[in-house]
Amino acid sequence: MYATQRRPRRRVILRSCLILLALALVLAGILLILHIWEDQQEIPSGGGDETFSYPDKERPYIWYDGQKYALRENIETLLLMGLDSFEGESVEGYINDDRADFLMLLLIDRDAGTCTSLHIDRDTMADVQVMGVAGQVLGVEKMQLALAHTYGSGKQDSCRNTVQAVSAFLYETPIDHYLSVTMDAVQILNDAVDGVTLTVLDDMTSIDPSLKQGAEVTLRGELALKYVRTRSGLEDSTNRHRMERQRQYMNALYENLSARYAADRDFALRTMLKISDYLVSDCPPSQLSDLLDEASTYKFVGIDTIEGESIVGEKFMEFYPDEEKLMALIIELFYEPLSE
Amino acid sequence: MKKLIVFALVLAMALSIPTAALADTFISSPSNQDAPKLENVVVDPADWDGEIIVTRFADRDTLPDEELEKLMAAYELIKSAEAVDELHEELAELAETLGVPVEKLAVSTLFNVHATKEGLNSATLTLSSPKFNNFVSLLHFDGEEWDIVETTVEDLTITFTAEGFSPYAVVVSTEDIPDAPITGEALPVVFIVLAVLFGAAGVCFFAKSKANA
Repeated sequence: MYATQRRPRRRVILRSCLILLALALVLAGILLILHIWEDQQEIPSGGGDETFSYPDKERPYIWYDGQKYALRENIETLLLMGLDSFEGESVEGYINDDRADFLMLLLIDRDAGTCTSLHIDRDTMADVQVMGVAGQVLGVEKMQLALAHTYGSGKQDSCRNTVQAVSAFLYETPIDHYLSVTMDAVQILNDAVDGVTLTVLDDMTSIDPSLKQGAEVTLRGELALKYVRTRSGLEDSTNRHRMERQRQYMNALYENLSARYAADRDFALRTMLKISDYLVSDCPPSQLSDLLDEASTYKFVGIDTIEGESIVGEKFMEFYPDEEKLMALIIELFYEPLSE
Repeated sequence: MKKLIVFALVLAMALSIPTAALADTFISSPSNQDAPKLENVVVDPADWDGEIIVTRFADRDTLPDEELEKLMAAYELIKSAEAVDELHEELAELAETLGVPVEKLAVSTLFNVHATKEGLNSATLTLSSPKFNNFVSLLHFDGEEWDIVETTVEDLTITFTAEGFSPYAVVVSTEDIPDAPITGEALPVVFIVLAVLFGAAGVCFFAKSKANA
């Protein structure tokens, strides 16, 4: 009788497993089909260069100067955007005034154990997706990269639009993550490391009497933001020149951050949480802090820039990269030679 | 002597030009010019001395409360519509006439037009904007529903007569725009593998159970 009672119970268990198995296989099948369909979608051409091709989604390759190069494995990229606004200034809508005035692509190379960054001119003329009132893509227009963020609500959608534009500009180089910060974050981050000390590059005494050219100052509070943001009223008021100050500041900030990370493993997470109200990212603060923690352990190779020419357009500055040098730089940063 | 004076004056002028140029080298930052540009206005009555103001959506906080309320209502309707023909049924017929699927129509821009003074019967406006590319239709929102406004189009310029003001929306075709691939959102392979492993584990369990039975 006991054996008879065991059989119905076993049958119930087996039947349940069968049902779950069938569901799992159906789900797996659907996911597999969708995955295969996604893989077969064409990647839109960004730079319009025929030497780039992506027949293998896992390891894109390109031909350059008679040599085949594949996208480096074990690299991770994050696009850092500094917005020209304070939190709460912009009103949510389908369009916003938050230009991405600071663009820097961080590249973590785990195999090489290095961290590099590429400083991109916000005036770079590139193809930017223009979005409509309900978020549809209306088309692509040539405009300053900074304006890619002004389409959308100013949050995730605007960040993704900027990532798309920068990726396309860099010949479809994949960008894994993004992080945008408003100007509020500059002061918080700066003061979290007890200020940033540097030698003032320009005569900025009209902005603050302490910012004498050649003077060594420790930037604290809003002085840090003034140093990296101001260009109006200076002898050289171009964005290109301001980018020099920004790179100088970033180098000094990085040193301070690295020292802090080394001394206090929770520093990254605490700092991310402090600026969490002023940042938008596809990563939660914990993931960002892990990423930055990791980056701080690698050798910081430096900040690369893109060579090109700045001209005065119809109304605004326009930066046009030297395409040959840009391609060489992309290959150097993101690709490695393959032997056939 | 005269020649010397003339030479000195010319030299002074020549030196002042680059100085003046240097003093004004600041180029302002680029901005997203979403609002259409008002190229021309013809008002009725002709002696109406007010001003027609075109306000882009991002600057809506500058509008009077009543105008702002209508503009936000218009925006919400556009955002919530699954297809633009929900705004006006004639858009579906228009799409069919153009040979464009209605889901390829999109509202490219939303702006407000208002008059600073009363006493205006109507105004014929000519507006220009890059957002008018692939123009299909102009819609006017009266606070409750949308109307299609008769419009003439030339390149990126539209001309229409406005008898009521407040929100206007431009409908364009996106038929020439390829569907964007879903980049950066590829389904994680790990979930597929886990699903298959789970299924395989179930098979093994079942097979073992059957063998032991």
